[in-house]
Amino acid sequence: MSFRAAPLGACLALAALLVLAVQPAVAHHPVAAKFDDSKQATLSGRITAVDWANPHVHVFFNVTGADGIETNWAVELASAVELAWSGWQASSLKAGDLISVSGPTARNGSHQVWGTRVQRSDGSDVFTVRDDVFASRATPLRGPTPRWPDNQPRLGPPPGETGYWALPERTALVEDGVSVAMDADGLLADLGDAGKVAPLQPWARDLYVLRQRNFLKDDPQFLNCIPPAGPRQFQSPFGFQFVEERARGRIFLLHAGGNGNWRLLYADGRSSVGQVTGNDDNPLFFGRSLARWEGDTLVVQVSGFNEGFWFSNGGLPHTRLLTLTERFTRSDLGTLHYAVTVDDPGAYTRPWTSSWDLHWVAGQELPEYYCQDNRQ
Amino acid sequence: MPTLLRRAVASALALGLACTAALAQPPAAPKEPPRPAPRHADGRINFGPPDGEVGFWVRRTANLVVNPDSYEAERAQRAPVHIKDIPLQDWALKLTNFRHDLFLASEPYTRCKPAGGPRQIMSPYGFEIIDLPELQRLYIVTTSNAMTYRIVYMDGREHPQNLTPSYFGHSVGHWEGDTLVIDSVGYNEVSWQNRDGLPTTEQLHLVERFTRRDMDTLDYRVLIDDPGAYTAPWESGYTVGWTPGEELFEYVCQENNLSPDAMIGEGRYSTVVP
Repeated sequence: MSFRAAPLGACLALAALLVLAVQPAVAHHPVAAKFDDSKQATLSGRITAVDWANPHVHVFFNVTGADGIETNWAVELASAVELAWSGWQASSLKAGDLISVSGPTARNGSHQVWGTRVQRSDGSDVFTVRDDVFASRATPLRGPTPRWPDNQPRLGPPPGETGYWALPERTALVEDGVSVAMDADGLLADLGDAGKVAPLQPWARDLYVLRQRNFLKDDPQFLNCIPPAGPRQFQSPFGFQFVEERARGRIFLLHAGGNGNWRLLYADGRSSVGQVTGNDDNPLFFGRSLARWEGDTLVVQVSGFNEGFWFSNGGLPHTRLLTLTERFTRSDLGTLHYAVTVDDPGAYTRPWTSSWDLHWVAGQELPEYYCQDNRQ
Repeated sequence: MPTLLRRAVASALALGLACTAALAQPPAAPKEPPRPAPRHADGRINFGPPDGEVGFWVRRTANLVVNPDSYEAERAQRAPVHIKDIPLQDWALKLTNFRHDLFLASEPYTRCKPAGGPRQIMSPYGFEIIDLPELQRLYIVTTSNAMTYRIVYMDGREHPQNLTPSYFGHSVGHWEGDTLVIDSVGYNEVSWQNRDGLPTTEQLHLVERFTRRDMDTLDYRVLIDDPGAYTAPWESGYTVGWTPGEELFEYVCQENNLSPDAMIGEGRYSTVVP
């Protein structure tokens, strides 16, 4: 396999990655819903337990207050995947160690702190997450789109190689052409922009604003590990992979975020229901997906959604009437363009489109990450 | 909750699971002998459907061991190994018994935790083996439990050193004649190896053998080698049946998942009269 070098393209890709790198490393749970930036604290004490589990690692430690009473605090940290990619192991801290922790404390006043900084008693930092923890995994790649012998683009790795898609350049739906300021969780900088994000019906706009006002704390993914389905599959920092089973006209989409679920795209020309349980009485999280190739673009029509999940970071609503037209175009070796047209007459006044690029993480496997890991 | 009530709940649960299993059983075998196992053009066994057909695998027997003391005893009787013959270390035996004392209420599977090894193969709603020789790997994809996937490398690589323990560990496979042999290490200690709550440690090493005996039947054998929990390696297995005409479907365990509450919680059965 030879890659055609294109310095300008590589530089552009690198610039894109650098832009990503300045985004907050924690992009999967709305930390703002639980912790209040205006209530910062620095606490010291001895560790009682380390719970090395996804979605968020926890360290518990005993803090002695001014009154001499010892209280057990929970330090919440990024995922085990992000910590491991930053060079840490579960054994890097252990019960009995003395630590000092700085960060915002819980909005509800409980003894919890988001660990912005954790230091050992000798002053060395531990369990820090590097700012570019995801971007650093990828090498900017330019080269021709890999193809099957019949010239159809490959969505997965070239033969003999590994890799997956991640590093989405957009992590919340916004109608193409609209410019509004929001963070990686889809939280608007100015709630007054809510009506600009998409052509929302009034009730849907009000619900969207309510979710935003609550810092997304009602997110079913956050509460119950409900799958990040719909376009949200392609907003995850943990990435996804295509497995093309061409002989059977099936494409598996394997996700690394959420609970590592798979989704099936049927490219076998069927026109009826795709997945046996998907019907009006039993709508689905991932919907029924019928795929076909239009030139070099895989076009996927999806319908049959339930309303039990949020289909984007940031909390844009949808209804059972939602249909999606997804277009996947691998424009070169390292770039996948995703464009989704949202048609939901239940929540929006007209169909609208949002699109972004994702990048290829070469030579690596999807991380093993399960939101359910730490749910009791 | 009173003991009697808990027993009633456990019995109802066992019955429910048995019914689920009965529903998931493939239809009775036809009179004529089954077709031979399908093969790919290069002669290797095809674990999927022949061209133009669909189907998936569902276990026909459901436990690794016979355990007459389990509330699932009737189902477990079909297992090939008696629990008294499992070379459990003392602590592992005590933990297994403790889990039974609690009617297996601490079951991770009920909590939608992914299950590796033999537990994945006893998935009640089916699995498929996606064989991708060009990529030199297989995926084992399941509907039930976590609705997730597991990678098996077929490129001759070895297990890496210093694996971070995980639900599915690290699996490498090879063919021995018509049998697919998968060797795995690197497991965490969350999963149970079967519904009887058999524990394992991070030292677990599994050797699984998949033999498609004919079109309809897959013999699954597993060697459980864990010097952390057992005094010797031991072997068991399941018979897995082909379910023709069916396709994998969406199953999101977390959807309205009240199972931990419903099965073990206090209060949800307050209106049930034992």
